[in-house]
Amino acid sequence: MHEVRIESHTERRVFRGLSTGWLESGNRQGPILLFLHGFPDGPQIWDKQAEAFAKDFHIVRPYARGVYPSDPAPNISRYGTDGFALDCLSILDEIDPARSRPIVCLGHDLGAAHAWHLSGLLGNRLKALVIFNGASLAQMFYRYRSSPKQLLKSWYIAFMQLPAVPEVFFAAGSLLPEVGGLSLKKVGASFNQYRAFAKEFPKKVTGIKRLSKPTLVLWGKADPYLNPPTLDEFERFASDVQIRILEGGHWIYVEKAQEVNALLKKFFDQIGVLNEKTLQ
Amino acid sequence: MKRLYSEASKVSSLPLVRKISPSTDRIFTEEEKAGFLASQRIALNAAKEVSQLAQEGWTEKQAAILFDTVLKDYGVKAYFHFPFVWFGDRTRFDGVKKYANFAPSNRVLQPGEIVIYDVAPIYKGYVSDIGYTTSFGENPELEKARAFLKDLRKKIVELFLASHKGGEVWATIDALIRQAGYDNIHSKYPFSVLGHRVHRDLSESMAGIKLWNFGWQSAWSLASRGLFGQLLSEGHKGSMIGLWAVEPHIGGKDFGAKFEEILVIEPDRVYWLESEVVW
Repeated sequence: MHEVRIESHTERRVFRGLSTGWLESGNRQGPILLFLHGFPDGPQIWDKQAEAFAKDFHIVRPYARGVYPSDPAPNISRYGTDGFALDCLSILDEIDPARSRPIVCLGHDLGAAHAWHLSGLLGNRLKALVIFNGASLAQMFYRYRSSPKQLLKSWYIAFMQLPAVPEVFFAAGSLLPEVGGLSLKKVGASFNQYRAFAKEFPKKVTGIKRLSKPTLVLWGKADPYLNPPTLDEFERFASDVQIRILEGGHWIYVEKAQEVNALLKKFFDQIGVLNEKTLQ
Repeated sequence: MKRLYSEASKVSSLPLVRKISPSTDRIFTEEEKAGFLASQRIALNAAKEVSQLAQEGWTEKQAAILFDTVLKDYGVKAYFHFPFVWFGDRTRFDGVKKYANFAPSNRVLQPGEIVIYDVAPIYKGYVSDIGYTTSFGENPELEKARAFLKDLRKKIVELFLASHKGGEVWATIDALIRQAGYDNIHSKYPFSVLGHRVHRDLSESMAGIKLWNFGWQSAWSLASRGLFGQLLSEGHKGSMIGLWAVEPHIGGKDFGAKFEEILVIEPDRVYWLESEVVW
């Protein structure tokens, strides 16, 4: 596959008083690849995929709420899945007002939870969902109930619920170039997503409709935060799912970009998304 | 019902209650009316915005949650009543047998369906209550219904100018709706209300406490003022001076349509708070 270096530019709009930013690149007439990053990342984490698919796809990479230039939210709930879904729907209507192009939603980590939720709101515009080392809130609930090991691995989520402590930690961290290989400067207020998810949890874990669209799960096996998935687990949440477990860690699409991109291309060919440049 | 009225009257006549919940049977100042109008405009803009974002396959519950999210983006912190969203034949309350059935359901949005967005936010203490009817795609029946509702909107002002008696106006509106070949759907609302008073200085605290999608503030603000005088129902008696959220709701074969806005009733003047039709 030929990787082309394509320039991304930052778009920024004010929706309902909140500045919302995204990176945009690629083929403006192509189907849309909507990449949702996790924590503590920014949309640049998807650069290798953005370059790989720019020729044929319109690449859209929103900044999570609280990651500059997306404003911090006025309240904790606004960092949750409904608030971010609203932002993504507004972005999608901005770039495709005719709603004529198919969308593939790709999410990693917290971005995967957002991608799952958004997928339930896109109707026939959604062509497929791709998940990298992440899960929906309902799926995390299932994991916590069935695996004490997963509960322990998620210790950091409890840390994020403490009042004031994460704020101090991330503010201090932003003064340092890197902490544990991660740059905390760009985190902004986005750790509040964990708090928002904790608030949403009771309402978002039962009565969830199974996704009927093609779903690809790409998972780095050596993930210190999340147990590897099983088909049985994912099939509770999606009816047409395939899983590929790869050698690598939590950021598999960065570590093994070529392998991941090849799998993505194969998936896109399989679902025929490029044959369907406009929705019927 | 008589017992309820009797109890509400006792509560509303207590001196402390009268102090906390003063009468709204009065002429409001221009500043107060501006506060109500701001609340109404936010509600209507939010309804239009969420209706534009709506996608095929949304459920009423999903639409209501996003409606709430949009309203909170605009600064709403509490509700007289939380968002209601109804699709298709639920817009004429088919199948609604008890209060809980009015709440947003798992009904899925289909192309061409009529949709009603209805919410009563409390914005900086001011209550408004709006009903916005639209369709997800073209729907010629909605255009006809909307034309009728626009005429009815003018007629409501004329009727209140001619008579400030709420019960009489209710009966006339009912007759006009039926003469036009529609059903009177607002007769299916609790107490068959065509409207209700709107209040100011409502608390935005404990915003999550609700019953049947109504905030605790609605129960308090209505009951503390005697309840029935606050409701524009078929048997309404007493003064109509003040501000009212008026909500005629008509029903066609398999759909309903309504509008809801604040009407200002003063001794010599009756007018809609929003002078132009903005729905």
